[in-house]
Amino acid sequence: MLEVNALSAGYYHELVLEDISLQLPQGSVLALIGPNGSGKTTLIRAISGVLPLRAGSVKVAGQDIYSLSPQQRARIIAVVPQARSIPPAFSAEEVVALGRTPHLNWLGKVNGKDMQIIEEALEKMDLLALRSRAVSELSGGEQQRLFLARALAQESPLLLLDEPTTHLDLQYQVSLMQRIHQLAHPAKEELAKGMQPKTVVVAIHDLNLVSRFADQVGLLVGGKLAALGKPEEVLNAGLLSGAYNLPLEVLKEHGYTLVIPAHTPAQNNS
Amino acid sequence: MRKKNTRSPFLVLALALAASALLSVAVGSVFIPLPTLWDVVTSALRGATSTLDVNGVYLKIISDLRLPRMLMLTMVGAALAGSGAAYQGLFRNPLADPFLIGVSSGAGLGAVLAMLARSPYTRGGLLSVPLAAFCGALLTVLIVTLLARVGKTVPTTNLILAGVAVSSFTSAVTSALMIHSTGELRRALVWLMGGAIMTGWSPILAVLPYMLIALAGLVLIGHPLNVLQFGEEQALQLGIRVQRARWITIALATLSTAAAVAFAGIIGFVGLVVPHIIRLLWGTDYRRLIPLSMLGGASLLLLTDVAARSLIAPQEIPVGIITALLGAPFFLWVLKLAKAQNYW
Repeated sequence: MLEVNALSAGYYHELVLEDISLQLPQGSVLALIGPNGSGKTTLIRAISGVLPLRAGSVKVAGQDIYSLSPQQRARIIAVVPQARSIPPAFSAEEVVALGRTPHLNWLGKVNGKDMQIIEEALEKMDLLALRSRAVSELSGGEQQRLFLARALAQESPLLLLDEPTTHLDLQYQVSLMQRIHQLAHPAKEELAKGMQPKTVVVAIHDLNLVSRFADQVGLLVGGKLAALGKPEEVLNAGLLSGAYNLPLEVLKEHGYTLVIPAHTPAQNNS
Repeated sequence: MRKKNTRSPFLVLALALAASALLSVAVGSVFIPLPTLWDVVTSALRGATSTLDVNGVYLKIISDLRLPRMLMLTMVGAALAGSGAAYQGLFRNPLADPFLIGVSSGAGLGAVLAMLARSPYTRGGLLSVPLAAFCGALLTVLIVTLLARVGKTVPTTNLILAGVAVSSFTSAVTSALMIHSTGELRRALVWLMGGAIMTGWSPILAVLPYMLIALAGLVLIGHPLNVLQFGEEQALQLGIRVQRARWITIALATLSTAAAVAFAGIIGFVGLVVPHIIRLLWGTDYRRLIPLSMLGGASLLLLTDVAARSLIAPQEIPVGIITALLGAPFFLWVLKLAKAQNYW
């Protein structure tokens, strides 16, 4: 589904990402982890097609996304960005409706089918009751769901999310990640209704959410992919301690993998 | 929110425009009562002479003076308010107004240069003045954007400061040029104050092609402007060709401003006041905001002109003075509002 081959990218004279290669099958969630500045956001932007590559390629369903028009690209890739500029005067419904943009012409006229898709996206993210609220009146968690709903309205097979759980409390972090997991792994009834499993790439800081909701984990360190594999392979005390420059312990509790800072004498003294 | 009924705002504003247009034709140094106006116009359409207008004075006033002036003001008001709304969407900035960001003064300088070369009422003048105004306006908007830009955004203060600086400069050059051209001084001053509305039918015919292209274009770019509100990167990720959409918007908004300035002088604040009121009443969707602003702008300018002609009749106050008297306090209010609650 998603194929990244020997990708290098950066800004001005600085190379941020070097020689990244990864493959992701349809219906799976890839979590990108790594310390601040390791290149997670840059990788999301490069895969989304807005950051010209220095080398390598990004293919979605076999198509080189940098050879597509913005409209064609927006039909196969939807992005929930981290730094969002939100026009606060728009209503929630108007924001979700703008997710239909890649399927509309220059005039932006929506038809009955578009309306139905907008309705479903609002419903899936529990936003029906808030549809006529102005964006500025929504809480952080509601705004996250709103942008996810906008991405769903794009009906793209690939979803890219940049730190969707930042600024959310624990309850919303878990519920948002559950929703994201469900998009890649729809229930049987949804599959029967014709829903296609999404392929998801999500940059995320919370390693404990990663172990619970990701199918694959990519660990970025200094712009390079230091490890790529199943959560239990990558969430490894040695690998992570080196990457984060902090002694970490990995525990298995109730079938979950937990990553916590190791109990060190230095912390006891402080 | 405030979008339930999409028809009624159009109906309300269309009625307001019709009423303003009637008032504009009826009121002036000679007042024509509505029944008389009705009778004169319907008789003329039948090819007869109205019994209320035996020597044809009313008909002459209506057909030669008031009607073309009314049509010109309608187009100018629509152009100023429509381009104001478009600039606001383009810069994602509530205070963008063709006058405040200096585009009007740029158009003014271009127009004056062309007027110095040719008299504005000759055929060459009628064709070259709006073109020169367009070039001047386009150059100004590019300079102001370059000066005000910080990275990918155009902060409000920078935009207004750059606009003020550039428009002071271009206005100074315009004034200098006008002083140099002897005998034209009074007309020039009136023009600078927005009182140089060209009357008669030939300016209407000359401005019509520009207005038709610019206004129709502005009505059609609402959707890309909506998407641009998310910022450049998200707009691109939603499938919009951002640079192309930007350039088309700049070209259309600048063309309408230039056409308005070339045929009516510099009239400020219409492009600020009208889109704001519309936005507060009926929301931000640019597909509706732009056409509604045009209807509202046309009505506002017609009413302002009625006031300009009747306040110290038979003297006329340049219409730009009245829009500035109304618009400047409004501008300060919006500035305060935009700071207090980031409702933009």
